[in-house]
Amino acid sequence: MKLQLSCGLALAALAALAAGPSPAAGDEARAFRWRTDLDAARKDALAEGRPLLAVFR
Amino acid sequence: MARPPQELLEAAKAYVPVRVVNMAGVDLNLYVFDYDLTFAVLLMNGDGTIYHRYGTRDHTSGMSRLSMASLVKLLKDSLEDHRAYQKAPKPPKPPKALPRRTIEDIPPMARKIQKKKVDCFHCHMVNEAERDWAREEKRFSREAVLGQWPLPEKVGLKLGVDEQTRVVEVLKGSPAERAGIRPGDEVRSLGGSRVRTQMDVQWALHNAPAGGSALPVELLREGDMVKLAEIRTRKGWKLADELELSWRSSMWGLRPRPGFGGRPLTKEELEKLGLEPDTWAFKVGYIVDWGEEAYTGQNARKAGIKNGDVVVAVGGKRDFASELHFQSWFRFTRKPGTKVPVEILRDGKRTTIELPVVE
Repeated sequence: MKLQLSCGLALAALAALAAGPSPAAGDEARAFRWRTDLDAARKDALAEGRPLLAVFR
Repeated sequence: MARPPQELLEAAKAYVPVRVVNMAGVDLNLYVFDYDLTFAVLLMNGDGTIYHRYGTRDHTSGMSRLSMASLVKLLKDSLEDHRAYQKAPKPPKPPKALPRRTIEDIPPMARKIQKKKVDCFHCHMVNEAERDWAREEKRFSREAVLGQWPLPEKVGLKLGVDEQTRVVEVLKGSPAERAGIRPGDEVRSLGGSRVRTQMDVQWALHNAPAGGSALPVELLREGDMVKLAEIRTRKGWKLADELELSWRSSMWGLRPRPGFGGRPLTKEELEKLGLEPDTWAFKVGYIVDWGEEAYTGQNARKAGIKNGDVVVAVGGKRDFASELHFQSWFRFTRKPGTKVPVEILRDGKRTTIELPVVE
């Protein structure tokens, strides 16, 4: 997929990612499980050896 | 709502994703970012070490320095930093590790919560609470507000959007030019920290002393690593001007304030009033008569400002870019105790009101 979106679209797509599961966001985005508890997510990241992606909206 | 691109979802899968829409309980000593932003990303280790920050903007728009390509690239590239860190982790330890501190702990906010339940804390409310507290403690500094999170241009660097650390332009006579940086270079580290985003650069600048500093810089130039002399700055280098500051929520908290505002006129409206279509003017749509700042609106009314007046110049200035620019300019440049001429159109007649500047 071409990544050069217009500014407005890019913002909307970023917002869609940060907004969490939404019927309009598509199956992949719905499958993307956002955590909402920072402390718990940090603990999971540490335990799983994965980095943390924290999005503040 | 637009669908997030597949590449973004794929790149994000390697991470434990967490989204925060309420700053309640968020440790301000750990999650440090530009709280004026409405979109900010931290890539970090679970131990609290922050690898990179993403998300910034300027006065032109909220998207001016973001792109899907740069975010996807960052998510992919940062995995390399994570793998390297995992081999030799250095978690923050006392005295570097600070105790947990939240927005609810900031005294003016703590008092507000005692009086009235507050459910949702926006990011910008952190700055407002900190500012109110600083005022109470008589340690408020305009310079601290104006010098926060300096854009790369403050040292003369114009960086790319898709390639966030690629130098697009080096401003003439700037610290970056004096350091020998050239267009096409890729900034690899600044002030000793690996940078992958414009916000990483801003973080390094944010932490540099306002009184002048010497920041070591490493570059990739045509594939070779180049170490340059430091980027040397002088006193005052950090300070934003009123236009640069205009998008920030923090701006609203500065004083003095005009006590009124409104939306700029459209070209058609300007034409109807016999004004040139490229001039700036706004119709007074509100006079502040609420909250702690009601005195500023009362001052404006007393001076003669009315709802519906068309403001065509303030202090002789006619080239404001937006209402935010006007508001920021007033706070930035006006001195309490003086008067500022406000040129208005009312009922087709042009008149000038002398507005006392109050604090």
